[in-house]
Amino acid sequence: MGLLIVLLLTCAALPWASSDPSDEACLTHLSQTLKDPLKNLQNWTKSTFANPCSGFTSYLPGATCNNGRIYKLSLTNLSLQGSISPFLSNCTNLQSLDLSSNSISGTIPQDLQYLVNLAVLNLSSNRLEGEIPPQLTLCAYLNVIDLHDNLLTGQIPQELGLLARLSAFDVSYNKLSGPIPASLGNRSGALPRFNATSFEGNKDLYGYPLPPMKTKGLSVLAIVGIGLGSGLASLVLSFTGVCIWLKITEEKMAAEEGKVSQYMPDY
Amino acid sequence: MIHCFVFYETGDALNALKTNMADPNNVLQSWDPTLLHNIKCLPFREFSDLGNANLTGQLVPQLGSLPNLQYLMPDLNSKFQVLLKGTRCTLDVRTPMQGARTLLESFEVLTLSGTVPLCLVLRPDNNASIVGKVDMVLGNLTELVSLDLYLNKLTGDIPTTLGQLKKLRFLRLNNNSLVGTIPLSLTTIDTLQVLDLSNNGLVGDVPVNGSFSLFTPISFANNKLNNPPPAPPPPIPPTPPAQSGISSTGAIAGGVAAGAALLFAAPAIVLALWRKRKAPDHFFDVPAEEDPEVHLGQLKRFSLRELQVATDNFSNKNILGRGGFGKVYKGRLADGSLVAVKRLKEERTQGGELQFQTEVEMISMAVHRNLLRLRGFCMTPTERLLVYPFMVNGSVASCLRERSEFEPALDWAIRKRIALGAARGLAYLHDHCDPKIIHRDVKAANILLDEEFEAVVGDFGLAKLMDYKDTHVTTAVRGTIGHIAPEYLSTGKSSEKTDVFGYGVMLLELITGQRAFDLARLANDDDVMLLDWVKGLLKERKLETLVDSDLNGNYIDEEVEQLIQVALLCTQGTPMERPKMSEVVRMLEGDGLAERWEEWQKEEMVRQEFNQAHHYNHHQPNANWIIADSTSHIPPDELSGPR
Repeated sequence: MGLLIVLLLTCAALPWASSDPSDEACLTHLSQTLKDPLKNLQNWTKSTFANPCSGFTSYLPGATCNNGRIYKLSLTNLSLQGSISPFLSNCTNLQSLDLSSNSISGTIPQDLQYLVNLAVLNLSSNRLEGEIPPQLTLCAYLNVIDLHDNLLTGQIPQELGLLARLSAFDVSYNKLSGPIPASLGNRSGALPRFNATSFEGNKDLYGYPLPPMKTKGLSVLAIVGIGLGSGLASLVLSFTGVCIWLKITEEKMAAEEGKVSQYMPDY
Repeated sequence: MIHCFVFYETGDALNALKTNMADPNNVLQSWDPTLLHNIKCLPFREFSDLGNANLTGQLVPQLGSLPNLQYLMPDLNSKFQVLLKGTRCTLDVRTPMQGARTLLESFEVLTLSGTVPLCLVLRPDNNASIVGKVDMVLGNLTELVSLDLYLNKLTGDIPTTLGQLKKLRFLRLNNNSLVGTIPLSLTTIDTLQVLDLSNNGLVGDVPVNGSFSLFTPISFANNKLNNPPPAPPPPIPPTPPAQSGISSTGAIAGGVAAGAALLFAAPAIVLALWRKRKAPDHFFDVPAEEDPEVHLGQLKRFSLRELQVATDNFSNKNILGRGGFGKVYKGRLADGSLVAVKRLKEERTQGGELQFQTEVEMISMAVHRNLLRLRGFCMTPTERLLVYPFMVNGSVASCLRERSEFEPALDWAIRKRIALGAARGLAYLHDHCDPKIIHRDVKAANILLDEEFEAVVGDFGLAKLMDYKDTHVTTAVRGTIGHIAPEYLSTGKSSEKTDVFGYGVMLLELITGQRAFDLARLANDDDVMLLDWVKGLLKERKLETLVDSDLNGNYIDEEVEQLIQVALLCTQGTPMERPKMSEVVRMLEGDGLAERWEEWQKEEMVRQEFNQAHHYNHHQPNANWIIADSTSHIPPDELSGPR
């Protein structure tokens, strides 16, 4: 009986669900960390954050609503700066996040892992730094990860290869290093594999589909240098040691031989 | 950023719409009627401009003449309902829907209008909702981009034919009473972007393939589906980031460094090991080339291993002495016999093996009681070794001058025997060897003594062995200072007579116990050279001073005098005048010494008379020693010249 009432209540509430406090917090924090020097974000005001959606209608430019919740946020090519607020994770119904072609800096917040309904993540063509958070794997429905043209460093998390629905993956033109996870570059079965265009433009990235060990932390020249240097050092050291040792033993021997009389029989 | 959202062919309809609208926020101000005639793009910044603009009024019929108008959709309150950006919808203004209708009725109205809708939104007003079933024929609206039937009272299944709507991007059927399973055909709509099936009575599995890949449990909430959220992959504990790249690089660098270090240190280590092995004994063992059973006549060829064992690996403790040809080691062979092993100096070992063997063979031919017998030899590519029997009593020199307090001094009888034995040995070398062997370094140190104190001449034949050019002229004079004959020193030419000279000096050593050359004598203002010192004493007739004090006077004056006479005869400046070794032997045996001495005394007398013509007084042959100055080794007649 109680369950029925609850169900009815939720059903009644759904159609014109007024603002969601989570979405409000999400948008408020995002607007605080993002900078909008060209004032391209119109109507991004507190009153709008409080009530961004009316059913399927969005009052917020760039936001798309479904059932009173923001399900898509698309702020592309607006010359935005600043950083991505970790409180973006409050937009729990977000399925698509597209902030591409801006000048957003900072890191990709680990808290994006709480956007469990996220299917599309496009942060390409920004100035994002730091590593790709491995926690993105927890966004199990991710279909698209597009991080190309940023300043990301570190390695590509192996775990991303476990995203069963991943159909588009692009980390090209970053500063990533290390091996390409086999689960991404050389996927087996029905999973799509990503070709070199997804990985190119990263100087220190190697492994299939890129050339193996293209460039490593130490160049071949450096390794050869280390080898030769240490070799020469050991050569000098060992020869010096041997010379000193020989000198000592020779002196000992000479001292011993000196005891032999010169008047011993000559035979 | 200007978006062209609305295309139209005539401005009249929109103009009519504008005039029919109450526009409190002036959002339609840009809808300039004149512009609307000329341009085909209606500039809205954003759709929500309109959606949020609180426009009220009636839609005008003229909008029906806009066949290509997109996006705008009125709801049943005749408000502008702005749909999602990018949605293309046809507006059919002739069918304002009021009250409850069946879906079929609505659809019929739409199709009767004669236009193919791109967008179908059927929403009830607050008082009514559409009832009925979602009709199969909806599947015929193949141009449909958006199908919004949410918040109605629709019942029945979702028709499979909806999968034919290949351009559909928005499908919202939520909040109805739909039952049955989700048709798999829906997953084939690749363009599908938004799906909402929540709040229905759907059962069965949720497809995860195709376009459904994008959709999360939100789209399927509140149904009776088996596992509404398609099971997400189990969250993986974040594994530590693989450091393989860096660590392998480090490993490579480390490995290369270590390898290079080893590689470069290897020569030094090898050198050290080589020198360690080589330093004490200076030997390379090449046993493969050796055959210990090979005998050259009486000569045994030893293996290097054998000699290494015998001499305790050529230990310094076993060094007996060092001659001009190399070190001599004492050793004990496997059969228990003591040997002296002479290691020839490295620079002396460059000759061919065959040549060495020949020379060794030659030495081994000299077999005599008073000659040191060669027992054998050893030959490796880098080493030449000679093996002699060990002489327990050392050499004459060591017996004379390095005697320990417990050993008795050599008595006179033994000294006589040594003189004779050495002479016999040398005579044998000169006369009975073919080719004859010149010792070139006769001295007390080279006369060894066996267990019976019999003289054994050693160190012979080597000069020849070392000097492969078979001449008696050597590049370097071999010998010991004090023993070298004057003509050998000045011309470098050696002969038997050089040996005779050395023998003479050795006799003096034997008698006096002094060194042939001793700087210590300078302190007493005496002569450095033994020969000069002896001659000086003889002139002063101090025989007692001359004889070795170790004898304690136990000697016979006559015999001493005889030996001195032999020694003086042997050390004459002119080689021609010295006796041969065989003559010396005979003289020592008591045959012909007196005559020879007499003769020489006469000659000396004549010579001295000749030289000191008017200063000569008288002559007493046996009383006075007439002795030529040994340093004036140039013949006196040459000095004076013929008159």
